[in-house]
Amino acid sequence: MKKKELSLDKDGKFDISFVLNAKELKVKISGDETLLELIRRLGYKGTKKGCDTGDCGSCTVIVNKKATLSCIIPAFLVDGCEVTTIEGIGSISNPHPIQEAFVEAGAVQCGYCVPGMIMSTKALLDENGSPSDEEIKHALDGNLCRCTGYVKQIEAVNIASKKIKK
Amino acid sequence: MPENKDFKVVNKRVKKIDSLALACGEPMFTDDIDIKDMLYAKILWSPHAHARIKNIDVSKALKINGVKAVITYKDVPRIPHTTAGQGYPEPSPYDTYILDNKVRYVGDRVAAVAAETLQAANEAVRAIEVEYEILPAVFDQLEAMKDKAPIIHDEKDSKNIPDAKRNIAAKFDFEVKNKDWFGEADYVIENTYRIPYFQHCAIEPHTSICYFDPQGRLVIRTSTQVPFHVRRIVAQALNIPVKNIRVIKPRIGGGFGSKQEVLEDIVAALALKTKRPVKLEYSRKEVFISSRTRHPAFMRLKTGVKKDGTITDADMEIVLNTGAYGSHALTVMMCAGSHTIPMYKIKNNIKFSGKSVYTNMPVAGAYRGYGATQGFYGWETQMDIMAEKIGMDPVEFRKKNYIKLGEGSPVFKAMGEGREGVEQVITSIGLDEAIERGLKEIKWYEKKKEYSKWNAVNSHIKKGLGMCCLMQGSGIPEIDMASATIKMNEDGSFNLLMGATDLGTGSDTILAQIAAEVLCVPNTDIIPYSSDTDLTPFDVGAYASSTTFISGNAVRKTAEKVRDMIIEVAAKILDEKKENLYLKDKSVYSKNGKKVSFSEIANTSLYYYNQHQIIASASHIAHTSPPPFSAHFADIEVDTRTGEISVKEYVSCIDCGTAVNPTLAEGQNDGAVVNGISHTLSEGLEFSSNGTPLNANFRRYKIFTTKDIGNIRTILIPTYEPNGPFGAKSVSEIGINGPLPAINNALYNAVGIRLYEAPFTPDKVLRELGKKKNV
Amino acid sequence: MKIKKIYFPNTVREAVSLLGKKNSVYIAGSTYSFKNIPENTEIAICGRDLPISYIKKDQKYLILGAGSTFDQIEKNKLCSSLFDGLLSKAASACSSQLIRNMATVGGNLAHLNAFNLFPVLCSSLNANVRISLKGFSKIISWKELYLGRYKPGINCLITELLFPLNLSRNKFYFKKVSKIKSSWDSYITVCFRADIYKKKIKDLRLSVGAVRALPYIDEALEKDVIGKEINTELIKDISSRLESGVLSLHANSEINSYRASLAKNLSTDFLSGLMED
Repeated sequence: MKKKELSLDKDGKFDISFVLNAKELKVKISGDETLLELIRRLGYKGTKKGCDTGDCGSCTVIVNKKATLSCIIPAFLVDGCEVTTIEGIGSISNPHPIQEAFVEAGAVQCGYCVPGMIMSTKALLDENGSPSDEEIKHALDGNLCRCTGYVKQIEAVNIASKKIKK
Repeated sequence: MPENKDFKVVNKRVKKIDSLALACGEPMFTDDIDIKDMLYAKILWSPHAHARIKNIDVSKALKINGVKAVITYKDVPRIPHTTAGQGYPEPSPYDTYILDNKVRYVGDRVAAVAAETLQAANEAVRAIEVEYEILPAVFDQLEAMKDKAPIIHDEKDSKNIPDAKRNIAAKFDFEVKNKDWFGEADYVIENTYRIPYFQHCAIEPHTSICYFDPQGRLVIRTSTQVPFHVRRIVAQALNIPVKNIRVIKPRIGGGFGSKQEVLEDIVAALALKTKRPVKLEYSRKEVFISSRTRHPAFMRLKTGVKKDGTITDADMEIVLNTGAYGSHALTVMMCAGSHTIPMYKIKNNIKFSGKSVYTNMPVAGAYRGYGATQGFYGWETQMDIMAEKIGMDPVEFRKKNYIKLGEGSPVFKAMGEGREGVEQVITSIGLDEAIERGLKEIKWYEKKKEYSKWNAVNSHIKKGLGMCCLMQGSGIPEIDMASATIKMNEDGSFNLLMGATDLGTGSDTILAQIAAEVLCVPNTDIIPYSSDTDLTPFDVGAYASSTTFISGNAVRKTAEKVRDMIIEVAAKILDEKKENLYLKDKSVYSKNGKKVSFSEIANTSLYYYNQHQIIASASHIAHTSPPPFSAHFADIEVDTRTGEISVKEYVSCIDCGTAVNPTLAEGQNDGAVVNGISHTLSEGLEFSSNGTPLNANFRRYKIFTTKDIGNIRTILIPTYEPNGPFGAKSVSEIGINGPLPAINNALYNAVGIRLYEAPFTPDKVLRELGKKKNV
Repeated sequence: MKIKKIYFPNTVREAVSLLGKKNSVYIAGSTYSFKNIPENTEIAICGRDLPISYIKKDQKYLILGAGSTFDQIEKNKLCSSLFDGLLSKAASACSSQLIRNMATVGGNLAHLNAFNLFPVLCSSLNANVRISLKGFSKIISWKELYLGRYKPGINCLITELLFPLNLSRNKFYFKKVSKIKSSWDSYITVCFRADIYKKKIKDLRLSVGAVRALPYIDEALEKDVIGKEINTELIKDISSRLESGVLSLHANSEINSYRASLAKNLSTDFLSGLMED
């Protein structure tokens, strides 16, 4: 349930509740905390900080179905929302087809940008199951990578789209 | 080693070992662990390009709630050292102090703070009061050498600065003179080429956490390419014993040279002062300004050529801007020559004159390509100019002149990295195949015809093709050393412990493949663990394109020792002569069909008979540095209304010997090429007139995104390098050197202009087009 | 930042009633606001739940709710069909997908910056803006937003952008020139339109963005050419005048002189294309 207003409690914190990786959470946050800071503080370290200014995409999470930069939004903005991080996509024992596709394509070098890249891919494929190369490039243009030159990452999205359709 | 291409694990596209965990967001990077009671460090950076600290008052900062330490130059040892993570003794001048009473660029360290929260640390940094005596500053390397230029390193105690009064941080001259200079040349061509400040832009910012182990030793968990150099240099700078330091390298979010730099001293100093864990994480702005950059270059190249295509003379002068400190000043400058001049036969005379010069600008350091990027921009542009002068096809001109199998160059011996090099001849080269394949892939000759027709009728969009050839090295011969340890477990698996540093390249994977190939097991039976100074043997680290070639050979040798030990035990079990035994499928077989499994061998040695651990270590240094070779081809469009260049297709064919893992080798080259194209078209730090960086963020410093890349293709050209592990050479750096000249040559082909200063931004292109029109 | 109270109003009326309190800040898509919040901010009013994320058409206008994101605009059928798809095309040229997902039209207009796209689009398409103030709403020209009287997020809220549909006979042209494609800033962002009837110019608007805080327009030039026949000579004249106009904005600036050349070349390109039709 979305609240209409939030007030400070006696410890100077706000209570917010939101769904994180399909789990309902109630947490105390401070007013100046970003969503990225909150997520990492909660132990979800897959979401990365690369610039803290909304320019590199390492911190990408999905908020209400849209790929979102968690480093430039306040944590309070997700009160009542559904948030998915890389940990909510799949795990080593049960990876998501997109994660498998990134591995198969050799799209993971240092891997620092990869969680963000995969979140953007997830949001894209949920909206458009068979994107063209141009559509892939358009949807991933906020996720900077310095290792791969994007070549195998674009290939990975293509592989993922085929895997998901199967 | 015999040339045996029937590999079982090597040359196979096995999955990168850590890739699934990384794709699942497992906590693997420096900052992904939570340490109890950790303090946050922040640094006060100089707002001035050149100033002396007259007075510094930290009392207000110390009073801020949560602040545990504020350190200035008064609180740390004053020991001149270099931050360049190079082998000891480093060829870079010792001109750096943990903190100094003088600042030498905007972004230099002034003081450092450790506090309970990041907010308190930031507040404390703002509360430090500094009184500066502003000194005159100099920003251009040519200006800095002039009389009356401010002297940047006027301190008495720095070491190995060849000419501090003229701000010269490094110099090297070399000449081969067989005949009169340019006496035989039909044409003499001279041009200058300039490269600005480029930054590595590894997506993970530089991050270090220092804490103490139960014995009170300092543990440095850090994003580094050079863990053993970090241990040594931090020990040196802080004057503490090496034995009291452990460096752990977790997964690294890219380095490209920027993490070959030892910046951990300051966070170590804060930890020692507070006796608490301390974390220092650079902001992106700090990474841009206060980590390291590529050396900006001024290069003058004068070459002579005969009508028959013989290159007669080459006179190359390069002046690098090393910024405020001389990190890698000598070696990058020397590599600008040593990695480029041997590329082509030069009949009569060769001269190289190099300098690296201090300025009040950000500090340059190692960056993928390491001088060769700067050198090849000029060289490969000039190759096209020479070909045009003599009316020869630029491809034929290169084919005629490039260094062939069995040939050497006087440069190999004369110019090493920071000292004399080693004599060597080319022992593997696939450049001819690379060129032929590239011409075919990009449809060079068909498109040349097509584009000249197109350009004749279309005025807005012009099309063009350009190419270049490249070489690099594979490690630093007779300097770089790597070692590994392998031990056998009960189930026949092996731990591979190595100093080699995987910074995202996949070296853990390919080194495991090399071990697996020798030991005849699947690569999944090798458990690699790298770069922990307490647990793994020494390795210089990941730089100089050395890991596959040098660390790979160390792993191969180690595995061979272990193989011999396995056979020794098997011989006893099977009661056979050792020479009748061989390894296959996790077992030892005898020629007469007897067999014993690895697990039985391991269990025998651990528990039953002649009990011992099957374990071995080996080290490797190389006596040559076999160059990888590559041919690059660019197909571009130029919009003459806006000056925009668009790279439609880019093909690079690379001879890296045997690709230990073709997928990872392609990935290395793809990344290098796109980084190079991004350099060429959109990157570059900009500065105000007082030396303040203006675009130190990803919003204004433009690196390529998915939308900017055209059809990028890497094609591996297999050769077999006899000195490499299973025929392998290096692959990681070479690709970044091609785009500047290949695109420059394509630009000339499309619109008849060449650019002598990178990057080729649309404003520059349009301006040059305007000039050409007005001529 | 010491935020004490956060509001998520779900009606415009409610939102407006919250504006203007001391140390309050309005957050639209958060691509601009949160990192730029003044230190003394105590109240955050979030537009997240306001019902202003629609895109619709009435008889006179194409209407963009101010909460619409660039991504919505890019993918909206009305935006990709009306005005030759100008709005979709422009929205897709804004920064990166992640910013396009978050940034709203209202935020883009409210925070004046040379590189923002909507001022250029609005100036080219004669757009109006609906703003809500305490107790009432009104429609104003987009330009009035920058005259100082209306302060979006402080004394009013931008709720709608209205693009008049009476430009249907026009031809449109949009081009953003920047170092990389997914860029927020640019060398230049131009948005041109012209109504040519029987070879004569009936209406012309050459809007040039990124050259100064507000888009550059030469109204005198646009008036002068009405009724004239479009030919090479006239095109040369128009584009040179536009070039000198841009050039005069920042004398002695190398980059501005490049921008002026772009204004000239792109307007030539646009107008020559019309001649061929």
